Formats: sequence, structure tokens, C-alpha cells
Amino acid sequence: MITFKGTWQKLSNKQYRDHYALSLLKRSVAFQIKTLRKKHCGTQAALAEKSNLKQGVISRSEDQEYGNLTFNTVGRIAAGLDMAFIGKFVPFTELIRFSAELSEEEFKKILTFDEENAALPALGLFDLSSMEESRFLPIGPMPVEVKAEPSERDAKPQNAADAADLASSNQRIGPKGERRSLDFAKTG
Amino acid sequence: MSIWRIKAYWLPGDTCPIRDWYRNQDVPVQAEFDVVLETLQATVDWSDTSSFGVLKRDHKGLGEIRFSLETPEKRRFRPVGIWPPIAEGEFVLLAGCEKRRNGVLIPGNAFTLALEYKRRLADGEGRIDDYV
Repeated sequence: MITFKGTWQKLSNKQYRDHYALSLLKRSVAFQIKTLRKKHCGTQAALAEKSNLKQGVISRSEDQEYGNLTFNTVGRIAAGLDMAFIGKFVPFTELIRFSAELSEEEFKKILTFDEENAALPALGLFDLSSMEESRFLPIGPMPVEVKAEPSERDAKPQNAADAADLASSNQRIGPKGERRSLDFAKTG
Repeated sequence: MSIWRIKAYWLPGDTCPIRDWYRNQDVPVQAEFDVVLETLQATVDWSDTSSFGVLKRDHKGLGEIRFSLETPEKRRFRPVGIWPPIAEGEFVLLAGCEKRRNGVLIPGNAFTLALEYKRRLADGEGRIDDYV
């Protein structure tokens, strides 16, 4: 039985919390992939095909002991499932909550893009026809600037990898490198 | 949101074998075991996870939780409990052990002891309580 107090007391040991967080990361990602694969794709081979990966990679990704998945692999699996995966740094209180709420049933509720797209109008969250050309994200708890105008220092590539990333980023943002600021408050 | 409840067997006299085993493990082993239990609690079908296996033949009536740790050499651990469950959605932990490369268990009589605890519980000796 997981209790906040009990887990928090254990986490007061630095060595414990380091291992706990790492173990939860590797096991919970594998757990999610397997749960979502079974719901949306059935077999590992089907998800492999959708993700453009080999079946063995999917098998490893579902192995809770493996723990050596790359961002690239997880991102491709997310694409194969037609949903997004975000890595996020959190305080330990949130880690405990995440752990306590770990559930196959909860992960099965995660929608693919098409499922979400079909559900959003019914929920009355927004009307696509009234939106300006993809300028604003439709939903969110509070205004959050996702991509700010870079400072001169930020925009200047520090090395070749940064330069390539910046070029790629500008391509993704839009024509002529136009950057968009995302403002939920303006969506009405 | 746990689907399963993890319980522990307590001998008469307030000794809990799985708790004592846990306390004797290194901190990384304790952390790994805790996370394995948390993911198992969230897993509907334990027959479809590599983190659990049903024991057969001499140790029929038990199920083992399987996890390993690179410390840096790989160490494998096999805490055991009652399987099939005596109550729906409840797994009662009985004892813990490490499985060495040659299949030797540390302690060597862990599974035998677990079966003994199971028998004693069936005879009304000791109790089960939430594993925390």
C-alpha cells in the first residue's frame, strides 16, 4: 500500500530517491507503451510497423528492466500510437502522485489524435472554423508562452549542432522563420 | 488507483519475514522492489508481465516477483507470495530472496519457508496485513 508519508520518509534518503526515480522512469514508460500498444495496436509487430521500428525494439521498449530507450525511439513509438510523449522534470511530491495513480485503465484513456479530434467539437471546447490560422492552441489551463521570441544570445548558434537545430526549428515554425507566440487567453 | 493490494504475512509474535528481508537489502534494491510493486499493483493481468512468474512442482502455490539490478553486476531478486491469490486482487508476500547465477537462492530455503508460512496461515497461525 503506497502512502504519501511512507514514501516521503524513504525519499529522504538521497540514494533511495535517486534509484526510485530512475526505476519509476524506466518501468513506467515501458508500462505505458505496453498498455497503449495492447489497446491501440494489438501486436508488437503492428506497433513496430506504425512506428517504423523493428518488432524487437518494441519488445525491448516494453521490458521494464531495459531502461536504455532513446528519446528518438520513444518519440517514434508515440508517433506510431498517434499521441505525444513529454518528458518533464517534476518535484518528488508529483512523482509520488504519479506513482500512486499509475493504472492501466488511466493510460487506456489517452486518446489518439483522431479520437481527440473527433471528441473536441462535441465537448464544445473550440470551433475550428473561427480560429485564426493555427495561431493559438485551443485548450490549456492558463496562458503559457510556448515559444518566446529568442534573445540575440539564444538565437546565435553556439556550435554546429545548435546551428542545425536552429535551422530545423525555424523550418518547423513556419515560412520565413516566422515565430508564433501561443496565447490561450486569446482563444476565447 | 491500484488494482491489486499487496499484503504481507506476519508470524505470531509480530515478525514479518518479507519486511525483515526488505530491511536487510541495500537501498537501491529496496527502491527497485518498491517500484516493481507499484507497477504490479497497476497491472491487471500478472500472467502477461515479466515481473511475475508462477512457481510449479515443489513450490506450487507460490508466485514470485522478478526484478534485477545492475550494481554493477546483475543481481536477481525473487520475493515470493501466495498464488493463486487467497482473495481476489490481493497478493500476500511471504518471503524474499536473491537468485544467484547458478540458480542458488539466498537464503537457500526461501521457497520452502514461504510454503511453510502459507501452511501456517492456512492453519490460522499469524496474520496478514497491508504491506507498507
